[in-house]
Amino acid sequence: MALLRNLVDGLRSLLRTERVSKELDEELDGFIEMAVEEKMKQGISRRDALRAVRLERGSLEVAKEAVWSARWECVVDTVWQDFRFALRMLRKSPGFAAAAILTLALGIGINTAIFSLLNALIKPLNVPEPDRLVRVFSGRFGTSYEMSYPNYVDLRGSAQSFSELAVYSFPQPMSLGGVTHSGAATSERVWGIVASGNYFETLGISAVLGRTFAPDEDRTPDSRPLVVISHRLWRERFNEDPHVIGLTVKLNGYPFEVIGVAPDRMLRGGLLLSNDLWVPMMMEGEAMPGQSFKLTNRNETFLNVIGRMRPDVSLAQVRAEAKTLADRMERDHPKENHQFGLSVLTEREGRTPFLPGLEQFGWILMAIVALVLFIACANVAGLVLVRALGRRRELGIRMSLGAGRWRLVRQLVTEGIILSTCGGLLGLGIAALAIRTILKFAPPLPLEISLDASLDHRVLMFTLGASLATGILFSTLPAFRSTKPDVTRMLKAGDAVVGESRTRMMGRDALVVGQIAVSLLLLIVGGLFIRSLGKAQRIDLGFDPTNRLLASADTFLAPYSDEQSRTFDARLLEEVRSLPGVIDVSSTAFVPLSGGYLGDGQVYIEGEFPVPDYERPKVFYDRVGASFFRTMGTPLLAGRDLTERDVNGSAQVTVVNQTFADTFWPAQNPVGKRLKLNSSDSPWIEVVGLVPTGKYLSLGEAPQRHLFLAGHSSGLVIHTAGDPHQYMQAIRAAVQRLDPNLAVASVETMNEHLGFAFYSPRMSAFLLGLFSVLGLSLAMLGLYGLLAFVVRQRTHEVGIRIALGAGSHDVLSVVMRQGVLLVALGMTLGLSAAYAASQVVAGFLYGISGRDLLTFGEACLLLAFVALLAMYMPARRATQIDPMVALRYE
Amino acid sequence: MADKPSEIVQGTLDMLILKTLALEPMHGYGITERLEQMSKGTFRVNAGSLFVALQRLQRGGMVKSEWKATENSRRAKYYILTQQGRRMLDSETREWGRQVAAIARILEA
Repeated sequence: MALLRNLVDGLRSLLRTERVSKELDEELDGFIEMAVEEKMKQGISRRDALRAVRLERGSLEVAKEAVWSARWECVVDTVWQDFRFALRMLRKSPGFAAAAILTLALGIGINTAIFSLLNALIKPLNVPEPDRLVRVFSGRFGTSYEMSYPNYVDLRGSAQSFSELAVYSFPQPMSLGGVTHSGAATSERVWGIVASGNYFETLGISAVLGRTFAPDEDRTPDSRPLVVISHRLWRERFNEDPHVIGLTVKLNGYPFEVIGVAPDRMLRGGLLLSNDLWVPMMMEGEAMPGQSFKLTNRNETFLNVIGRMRPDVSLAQVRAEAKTLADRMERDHPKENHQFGLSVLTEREGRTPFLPGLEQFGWILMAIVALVLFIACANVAGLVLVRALGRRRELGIRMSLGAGRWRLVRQLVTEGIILSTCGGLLGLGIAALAIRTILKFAPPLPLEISLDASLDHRVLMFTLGASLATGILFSTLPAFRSTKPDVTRMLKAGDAVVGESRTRMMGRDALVVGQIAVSLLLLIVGGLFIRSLGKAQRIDLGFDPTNRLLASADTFLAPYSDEQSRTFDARLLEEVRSLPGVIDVSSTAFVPLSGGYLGDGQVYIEGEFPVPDYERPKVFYDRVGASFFRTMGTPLLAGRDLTERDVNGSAQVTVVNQTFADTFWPAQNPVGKRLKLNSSDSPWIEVVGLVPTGKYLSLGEAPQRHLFLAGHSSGLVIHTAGDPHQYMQAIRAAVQRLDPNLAVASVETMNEHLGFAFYSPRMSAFLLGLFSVLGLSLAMLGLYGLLAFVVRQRTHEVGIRIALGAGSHDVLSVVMRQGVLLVALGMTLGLSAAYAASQVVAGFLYGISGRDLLTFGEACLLLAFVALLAMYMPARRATQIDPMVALRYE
Repeated sequence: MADKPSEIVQGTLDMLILKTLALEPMHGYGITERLEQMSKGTFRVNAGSLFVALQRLQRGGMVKSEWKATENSRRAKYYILTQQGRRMLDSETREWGRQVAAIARILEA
């Protein structure tokens, strides 16, 4: 109550200053009048009475001031005064203000942009109580794998720590057809997720239209063909038609009933692959034709597990229970669940297998842009220092008139905060632009990635914090420095500095050293990533990507029998082969460097010493068509390429890579050897050729053992005579000719396809290169500015030197000597910092170590050259000083 | 006047003002007059401290004010004790009595 009255009263006096102050005046005047009248009753003259009252009761003005400053709103008022005065001062030097604001906006802007990207990766999912969600992986000793359906059912049946435990597949391609209003039959490729009946319940998400699955709709295989569609699909395909509920759509040729529409932007947080629809787990056989065996096979690990912990259970308790359950699951199924383990991670930790690396890279970027912001800060601090020298007379006058040092410091810091806040506001705009630009270069994937990098409240708080912190950082030191209580000297000295204090120079020198050190660090890190990209582009992929085209039609989604799809693929191959300009065409089930693989299996070598299955090495394999290696431009080291007979014949053959041969048949010719895949009961596969080891999963991988089995596969690889783009239309037309109902999945050049593998080295080289150049430019501008200022300060001294006969060489060396020393010191510091930092980034580099001497050397040379240039220009001007002018300068 | 007027004991001005207002509403000058009279000229309050104290009491809800005519038909701001102010005066008076007695006991010991 009292607080409220205080507040209301204060606000009243703030808003109606004049009236409140008049009231106080009247009251005090009345007080004095009454006192004077009382005195005059004793027969004194009015003048004497007035004087006596003032003596006894204190002066009216002092009383007024005392009453005013006892109010809290007085503080608000002084801050407001500071603010207005600061604005006035900044308006007086618009050049300075603009330079400072732009520099800060750039620094704060890129910091905000990178932070919002990092924030998008690590922020919690937009579901109720996201911190109670956990992910469960099967795996032991730090490895995490997806889970098989039977294991999930066991786990859900016995785990007590979860209120819900759900599974869902990765997005899978499906063909959606038969829903046009015009009646024309079309089909398009969509991405669907197969999820357990309690999936939406576990996440706590309900449909915006219709409903989601009920758990009992996911009990019997193939029984409930229901589908929940995404908001985007509803918008783009169904025009937001509310009557979509109850509609029957065809998925892979099977009729499904639409029961609900998921919320827009469902599941934001982390790097998620967005999908178009969800179908119940039990419909796996229809959603992924021919895959229904996955529901019963304990070895088919293809499911992500997400659970909601019960409110009274801690993560440690969940982990303890998981350990007990894992041991029991291993006992119950010792063969399939050999060395079985369950690892429970928080939702954030377990988001994507590559999140830890991405997150770490995000923090590295964050550190880099923070350094750029530091350089920007140092630049502005330099500007403020220079400006403070020009304001010495003003500050001196204010101090001699009784302004306290605190008041002046507060005034100068207010100016700093105004600058940095303006910089922050402008920075938000720059950030929005930067985010949009960065997201435009999304990795080329067939399905959309949802990364929600919006400027949410966390990002805005970050920007506000960064702005205030920078404002205080760059203005506090200069403020204290320039308000040293040394009034007489400040008034006397004016603009020309006579005998500048040692400490003041040290502040400036520290700025230069810091900027040089940080920009060398940035240059080295940026250089490392650029060189690493160069190395990555020269990595031997094991094939020649130029003039190669990839095309695939989703025959596996069409209601084709095995025989039909074989026929289709064979006819398509012939159609493409007959196109003019096509040199070679072959097929593969999985193009290398797609970020995944067709399959892996255990290898049995003929004549080997038998070992138990779980100790058997696993190898990756692919299924490829005739003349695959000729089409891909892969040289054969021994043996021969695959032929039509290999593909269609009854005997199985394979081509192995060098690493495979080295593992199983060291120093022997592998051609003619035999092996089995997956089980000792399977038929022998004969090795017919040997190829060099390429890259299969990622550019950074260690040499992998790899098998190329001859077999039927539907992804086409086409070697074209010229620019592959010009053949795309003809290939699409060929597919349409063969089956107009078929959705062509994709036609892309090999180089476009490789964009995915090259995405991370390219993006990191681009960003880090950009930031290091930005940092260097800012630092050099700052260095130039400071040195130009120093030269101006020393005009008088240089004039005397020239008058006494110093040559231009002497002048140059005098002016530059100090600068060179500072640059050398800064570079030493920068080198040590870069040496330490290179350990952190080494894991992200291809083909070079973090301590690449060449990069370190080049960065040093570049920085030294640019720094000398930045110093030489002002120094050069010093040599041209006319002594007559300089001496008259005072 | 026997002695030179002295400053009021620190922290007691609020209580003394409330006491003067307990008798009847009064304006600022009236309050100082009455304090001087009642203390037989021992305490003299200067305008600054008085009005700062009054502002504090008013914002704390101990007194309220209204403009009225004085007996000399001059306009003045009269301060009126509120219920809350009366309670505060009672409690402060009791507390002060306790402290004075304690101090006296110490000094006499």
